[in-house]
Amino acid sequence: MSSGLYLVAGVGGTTIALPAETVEAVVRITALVPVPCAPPTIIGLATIRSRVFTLLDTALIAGEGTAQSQLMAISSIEGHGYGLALERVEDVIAIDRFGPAPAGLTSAWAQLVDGMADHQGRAILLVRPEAIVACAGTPLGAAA
Amino acid sequence: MDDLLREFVGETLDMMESVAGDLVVWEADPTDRSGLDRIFRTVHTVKGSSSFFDLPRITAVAHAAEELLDALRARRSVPAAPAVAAILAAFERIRQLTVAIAADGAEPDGDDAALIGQILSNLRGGLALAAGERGAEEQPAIPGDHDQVGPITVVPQNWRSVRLPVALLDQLMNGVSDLVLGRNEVAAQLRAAGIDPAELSAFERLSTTLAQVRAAVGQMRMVPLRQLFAPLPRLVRQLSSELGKDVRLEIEGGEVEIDREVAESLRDPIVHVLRNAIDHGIESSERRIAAGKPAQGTLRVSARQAHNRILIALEDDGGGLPLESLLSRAIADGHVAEDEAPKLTPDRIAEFVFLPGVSTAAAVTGVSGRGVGMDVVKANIEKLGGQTHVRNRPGAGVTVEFDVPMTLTIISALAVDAGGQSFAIPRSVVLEVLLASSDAVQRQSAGGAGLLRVRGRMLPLLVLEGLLGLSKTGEEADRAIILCRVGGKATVAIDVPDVRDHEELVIKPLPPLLLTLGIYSGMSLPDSGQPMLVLDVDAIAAGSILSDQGEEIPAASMAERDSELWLTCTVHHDDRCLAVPMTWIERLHDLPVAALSRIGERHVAMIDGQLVPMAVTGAIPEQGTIRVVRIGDGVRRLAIPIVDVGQMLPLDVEIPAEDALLPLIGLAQHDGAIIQLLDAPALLAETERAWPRREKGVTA
Repeated sequence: MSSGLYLVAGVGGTTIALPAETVEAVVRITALVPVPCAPPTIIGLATIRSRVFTLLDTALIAGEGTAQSQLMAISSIEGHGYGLALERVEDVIAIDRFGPAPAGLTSAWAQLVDGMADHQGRAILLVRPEAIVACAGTPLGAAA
Repeated sequence: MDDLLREFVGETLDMMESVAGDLVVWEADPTDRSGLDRIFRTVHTVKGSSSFFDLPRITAVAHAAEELLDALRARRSVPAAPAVAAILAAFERIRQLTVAIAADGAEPDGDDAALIGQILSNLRGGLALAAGERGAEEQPAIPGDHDQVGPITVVPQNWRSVRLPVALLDQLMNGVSDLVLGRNEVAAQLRAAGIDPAELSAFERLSTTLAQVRAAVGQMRMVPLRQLFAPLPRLVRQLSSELGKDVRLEIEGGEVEIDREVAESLRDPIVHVLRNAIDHGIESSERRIAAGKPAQGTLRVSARQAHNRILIALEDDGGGLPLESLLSRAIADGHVAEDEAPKLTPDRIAEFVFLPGVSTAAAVTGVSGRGVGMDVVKANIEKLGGQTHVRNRPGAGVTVEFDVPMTLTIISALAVDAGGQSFAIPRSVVLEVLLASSDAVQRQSAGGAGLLRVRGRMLPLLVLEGLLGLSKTGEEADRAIILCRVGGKATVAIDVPDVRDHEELVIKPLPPLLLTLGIYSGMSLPDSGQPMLVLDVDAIAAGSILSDQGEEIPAASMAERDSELWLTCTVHHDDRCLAVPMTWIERLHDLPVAALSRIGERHVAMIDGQLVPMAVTGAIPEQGTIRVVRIGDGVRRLAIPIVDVGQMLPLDVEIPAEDALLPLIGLAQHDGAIIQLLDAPALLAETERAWPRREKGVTA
């Protein structure tokens, strides 16, 4: 995989890297309005500067159980704005190389992860926002 | 030149440009199948579009090129130079013709027989060379007008239009949307500061200009369906004469405006379905007469707008779908387990026409491939975020319906509050708002279904919190009831905790995740700054009309609930229980028998100053009043005399059945009672036949 900048964030006990070019901003979640009848992976609609984002429970989609997240990474996919709730956001760092995803991921994670990097001795999983969005409708971990 | 033809010109010129490049790339590397597939698709699109616009020269050239490409696709070796040259010559001819159309609005006269002959000669000759033989042969050059073809042909710009990327238009529209939001915010702040915005002339000017710009931007993206429908009569005439059928085309609803991009994408599916209907649906005149139908077949294309959706129905009065072949095909392809087959309703089986397996003529034996490429049609509609439905009337025809979401954008809506948040109901579906405490309304409950009686009409009643799985708050006395028109025909009542006001809302499309819930059709950010979801009243009424029990409805079960909703009635004929599909019901009436008059075997009723034919369901009482269910499809109307209404139920046909008096779809059962499911469209059609022409005049 090519070298680039990544947003490093925590989901449950796992550290993930979102490609920086796929993330428009990381913002505090405000003006949250629930969506009745939506699956639990959709937390609601959040508004930032007259744009509305569908806020997804990243931890729940990853099968980690729902988490109280204050922050979201915003990302546009096929013209729609999504917010990916994140428990903690660490930094934006350059990662040179991602290897293949590790064996033995839970099935929920396996759908999301595109690769793994060993960054200063820490395992970081590469996750693309579109994978999170794609899995939000049919989450394997949602029942947990 | 009309807009769509203009788009065709621009599109075709672009495509010819890129496809020539693709061809050269493919020639250099014949192992790259994607290039060839792309070329094939492009040529196929040009062929389809040109036949839509009745451009026979382009169609013929594209058809020949397509045949040659198809043959090349089947081989896997290096293409022979003459074959490539022939295809390039075809592209050049198409380009020249398109340039001429751009100048004159019509295809120039001329003869392409030589070119077509040359293209097709490659089919018989050496299609491709074995490796090593390349370039060893020479074939006569393509007879073309090489002398006229400069490297750059100037496209006349006399139609004065420009092509813009849709993304740029979207950006403009979003900008205008945000301006509207900003304007609303400023207005709110002015009011908060004690200034009436209406008295501020600069602000008024801003608002007026913004409204004009908004309208202009709307026109940039919107096009009346009339333009899409305009070439259809010609196309139908041409196809029916080619296939030796006698077909009449009726078009309705051309005034509906839709997104230009959507209009473009609807063209091929519409043509495809019409072609299928003429080819396989409508029978020959002799067979039609033998089946007791008018010798001339009828195709009806109708469009209507149901707030955020466009519904396009393509209806034929042919022989219907070959359900048995469809079923056996679906079983053979493993889409259905054999032991499940007897449980399938005819409607389910009809949907198999969209399976990819039935896309070739050979697959559906004996019925010459009814459903050719319908999987592609379905995929195209789904690309627009839409759905495809098929309604089969055995022996009486097929209706294919495209249900496409509108992408645009500013609507007038009613804001309602529930569970501490606001939802929007498009004003276009709202008929009336009533206070729940008003004497005019009476709540009833029958068999668990909520009903509301308003001025003699019995309507299904939905409670908003129940629909949305929200807990009820607030006092009952403040509640309001909104009467909404659904599916263009039926009316439902929605019981809401509070109605705030009318608002002009900029509607943004929902992400697929939320659209698939089948409850919302869009979202908006009103000046409160709190996102507001737009309720898809049609989908709610169709999907969950019985679920207003105040319980939480899991999203999955809402999505799965696809049984049609029926109103059961007892009729005079005997003690049987008849069910009428809710979507066809316009109203219930109690009529004085004096308002009926007898004409031959049948009765007509005077309802609200209009004459409405009555269905025959048994003896009509001598005096007093009679209760009727009025059904209609917007054009034809019919009153069905009943003893009384029963309840509203989601029912599915369990076994097909026939009846001498009323056309039925089949029988269902509920609580041990057998219910006869009325075939409303067939009944309407039958009545129209019984009351030809004159009926149209009186009900128009």
